[in-house]
Amino acid sequence: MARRLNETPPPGPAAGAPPIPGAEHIRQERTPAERAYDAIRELSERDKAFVQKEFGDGRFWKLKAFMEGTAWRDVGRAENPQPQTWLGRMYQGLREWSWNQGGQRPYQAAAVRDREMRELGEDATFLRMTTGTNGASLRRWIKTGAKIVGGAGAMAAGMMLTGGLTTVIGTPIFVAGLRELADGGVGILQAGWNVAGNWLKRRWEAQDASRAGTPGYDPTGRPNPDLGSMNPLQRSWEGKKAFWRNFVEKTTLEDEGLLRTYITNDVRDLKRLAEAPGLPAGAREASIARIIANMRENEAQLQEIRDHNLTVRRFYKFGRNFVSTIASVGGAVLQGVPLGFNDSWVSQGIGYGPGANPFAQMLLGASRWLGGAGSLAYLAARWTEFSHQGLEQHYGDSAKDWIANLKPEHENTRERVSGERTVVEQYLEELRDITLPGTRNLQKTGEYFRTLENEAASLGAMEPACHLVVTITGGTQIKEALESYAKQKTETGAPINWKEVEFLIFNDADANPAQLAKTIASIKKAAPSIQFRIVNAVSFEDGTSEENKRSTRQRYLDDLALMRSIKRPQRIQKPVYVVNGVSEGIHDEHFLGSILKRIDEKNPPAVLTGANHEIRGVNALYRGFFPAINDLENYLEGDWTTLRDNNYSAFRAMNYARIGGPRGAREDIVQSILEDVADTQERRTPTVSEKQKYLTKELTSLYRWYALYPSFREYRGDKAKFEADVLRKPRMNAPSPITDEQILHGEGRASFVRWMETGFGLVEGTHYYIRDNTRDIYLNIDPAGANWPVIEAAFSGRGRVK
Amino acid sequence: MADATSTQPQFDIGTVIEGNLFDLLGLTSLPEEQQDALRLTIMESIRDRVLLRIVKQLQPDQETEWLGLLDRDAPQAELEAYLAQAGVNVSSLVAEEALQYKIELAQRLGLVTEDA
Repeated sequence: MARRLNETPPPGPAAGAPPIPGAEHIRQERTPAERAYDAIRELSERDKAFVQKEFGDGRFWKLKAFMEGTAWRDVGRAENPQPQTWLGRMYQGLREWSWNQGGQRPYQAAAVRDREMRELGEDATFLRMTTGTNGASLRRWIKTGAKIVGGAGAMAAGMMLTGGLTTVIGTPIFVAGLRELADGGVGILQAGWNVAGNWLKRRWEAQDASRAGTPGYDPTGRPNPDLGSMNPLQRSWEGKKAFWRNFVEKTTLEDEGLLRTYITNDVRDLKRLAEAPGLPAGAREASIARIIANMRENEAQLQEIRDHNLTVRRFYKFGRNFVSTIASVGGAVLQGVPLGFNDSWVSQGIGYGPGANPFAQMLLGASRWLGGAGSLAYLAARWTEFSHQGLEQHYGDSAKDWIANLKPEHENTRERVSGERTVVEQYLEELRDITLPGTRNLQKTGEYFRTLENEAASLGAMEPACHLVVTITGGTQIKEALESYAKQKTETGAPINWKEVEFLIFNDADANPAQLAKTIASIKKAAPSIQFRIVNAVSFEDGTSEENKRSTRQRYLDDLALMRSIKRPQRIQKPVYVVNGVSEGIHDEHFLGSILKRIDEKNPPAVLTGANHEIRGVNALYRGFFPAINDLENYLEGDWTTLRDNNYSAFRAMNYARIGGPRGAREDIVQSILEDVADTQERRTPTVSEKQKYLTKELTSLYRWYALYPSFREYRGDKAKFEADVLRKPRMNAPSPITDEQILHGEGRASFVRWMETGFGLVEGTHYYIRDNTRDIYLNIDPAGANWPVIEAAFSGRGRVK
Repeated sequence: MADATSTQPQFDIGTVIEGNLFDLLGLTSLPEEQQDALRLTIMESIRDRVLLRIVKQLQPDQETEWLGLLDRDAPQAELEAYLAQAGVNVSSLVAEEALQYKIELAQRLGLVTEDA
C-alpha cells in the first residue's frame, strides 16, 4: 500500500521543477493542502517507525498481515466496496461515515459517533480523546459543564460540576487531581477536552433549544427541576426527593433491559441498512435517519436510567468514604500523627505537659490539622478512584452486554458479506420452516415453500425485464381473456413489450387444459414473444366456495410470481407487480399498458407505501403488503377480535416482505413495513389495559426481531439446544409445563414460528418462556376467561417475574 | 481550503469530528487516486497505532504468548480468537485510534480553534 503512495507525487509543483520567475516567494510556504499531505506522511512514518522499533521487521510484517487480513489492501477501492474482513469493514465504515460524510448527511455522523461510542464502551454523550495533557485548559473545560469519562482526575473535576458534593470535597479532589497531573498527567485533562467540552456544551445547548417547551423541560429548554430527565443531582431539592421516591417505588432494571433491546435492534437495523448492497440511496438514508431518531430517543431514556443508577453508586460511595474520611481525620487529630513530625521527637525536643514550649504546642496542633487535611485529601482522592472504578465497571458491563447483543448481527453480516448468497436466499431457508395456515393441506413444515420453489423452477426462468405478472386463477372464459390480453397496446398505441409481462395461469379442470393449450398456441402464433406459464394445479382445502377457492389460488399464484422474481439470476431494478388477471375479458385495450406506464412512473420504488396505491385504480393489486399492514394496524389498535382472522395476513406480509419484490428493494420493503408498524404503535392510544400495551410492545419487538434476525437457524435440528437456550421450563409459579405438543413441535425454528403464530392465536392456559439475548419473556395466557394475555419480562439473572 | 494561500481556516472540534477529513484538510481538489493513496496512508498509521495498543493491552505473559503464535504463523482466526479471549477488542481500538488520529491531525495542522 505504501508503495502505491510512493508512486503518487505530492500535490504542488513536481520536485525539481524550475521555479516560476518572480514567484519564488510563494513557494516559501506550503499550501494548506501540502501541509496536510506532509503531516499525514510524517505521522505515517513516525507511527511506522514506532511499530518497527517495537516489534522488529520480521514481526512487523506479520502483524501487518494480521491487521490487514485478506482484504485490507482493497478497502475503500471502488472495485471492492464490500471489504471481506471485519477489520476491513471497520475501516470501510470509518471511511464512509467518519471521513467521507458531509453536512448533507448529518445522521451518518450521528451514526458513526453512536457506534464508536458504543464500541468504546462509553455512553454516546461522552467522548474520550487522549492526545496529551493540557493543564491550562482545566478551568476553561470546567466552565463548559461537560460530563466526563476519563481518568480519576477527570472524574474528580467532573464531580465538581455535578453539584451537591462540590463544597465538601471539591478542593481536596482538585488537589488530588493536580497531584496526578504532577505525577505524570494521568488523565486530569486530556488534550482536546477544552475544545471537546465546548463542543459538547454547544451540542447540549442546541438540544435544550430543541426541547424548549416540551414536556419535562422549561421554556428555555432546561430540564424542569421536578420533571426533568437529566442527572438528578442537577435538580432542585424537591426534584431530588421526587427522584428518590420514584427510584424506591420503581426498579429501573426492566426499563433498561427493554431499552437496551430496542436500541440493540435499532443498531442491528442500522447496520443492516448501512451494509446491505443495492438499496436505493434515498430509501436507505430515510430509513437510517428514522432508526437513528428512534435510537436516540431510546438512548436518552436509557441515559436517564443510567444516571439514576449511577447516582445511587455515587451516593453510596460518597457516604462510605465520607464516613471513612471523618474517621480518618478524627483519628489523625486524636492520635497526633502530623505530617513530618514524630511524637517522640516532639516530646523530646520540645516537650509535653506543663512548661512545655508553647510554640512547640502550636506547631504540634498545626501539624495535626495538616495531617488531617492530608488524610482528607488522600481519602478524597481514593474516593474519586472508587467512583471512577464504579463508573468504569458500570459502563464496562453495559458495553459488554451491548457487544454480546450485537454478536449475532456481526456473524450474520460476515456471512452475508462474504458469501455469494443474498439475504433473501438465506431467508428462503428460514421460510421453508414457516407454516402458512392459509393452505392447510400444505401446512407441513416447509412444504409450501418447497412447492413454490419447485414450481418456479419447473416453469423456467423469468425474463430479466419482466416486472408485471398477470395471474389468472382459471375460469370459463379464459380463452376470451387471453385473446383480449394479446391485443393489448401501450397508451401511445405501440405494441406491448411482452418481455416485461408474464402470465401465470392456474391449470385446473375449470380452465379446460386442452382448450387452454389450443388457445395459447393460437395466440403465440400471432405474438410469439408473449409469455404464458401454465402452473400445475395443487389442491387446497381452504373452503369449498368458489370465492374461497379462487382466493387461495390467487395467493398461491402471487407467491409463485414473487418466488420466480427473486429466483432470477439477475437483479432487477423495477418492482414486480402482480395483477389479478380477470378472466372475463378485458375491454380496455390499454389495461396492461397503463399499468406498465405507472410502474415506470413509480420507479424506482423507493417507498412502497401510499403513492403506489394509485396502481389499484387500474384494477391492479399489489397483494399482501398493504392489506396486511392494515390488519396489523387493526391489531395494534386493539381490535383484538379480528386478530385471529388477521394474523395470517400479518405474518404473510412479513414473509412477502422478506422474499417479495425486487431484490434491490427488499430490505426497504421490510423496513417500510416495520416503520409502519412502529408508526402505528406510536399513534396507538392505549385504551384497554396496561397489559394490552405491554403485549403490543413486546410482540412488536419480537416481531421485528423475528422478521429481521433469523438467528434461530442455528437451532435447526437441535431441539435440545433450542430448548436449553431459548425455551425454559416454567418456573415455580407457572402451573403447567411446556410440552412438545404446545411448543416444541418440530424443529427449533418452526417451533418458534409456531409460537409466534399461536402467540397470536393465544392458547389459553398455556405458559411459555421465550428468551432472547437480554431477557426472558414470560407469556401467560390467562386461563380465567380474560381474553388478554399477560406478557411480562423477567430479566436474565434477576429472577424477577411479576 | 485547497487554494494556494497560506491562510489556515479553523474549525471547532465538532466540525473536525463530524466533517469530511479531506474537506477539512483542503485535499478535495486532489485527484481521486491521490486522495485514495492518502486514505491508505492514514489507515496504515491507524493500523500501526492499533498494533501498539494491542500489545499494551496484553499482560506480559499474554503478549509473549500472542507474539509466539504470530512467530509460528498461526492462522488469522487463532490470533483473533486469542485477543478476544484476552479481552482485547480490536474493533474498539480501531475506532478509538481513528478518531484520535483525526483529531491529532487537525490539531497538528492548527485546524482546531483555540477558543472553541
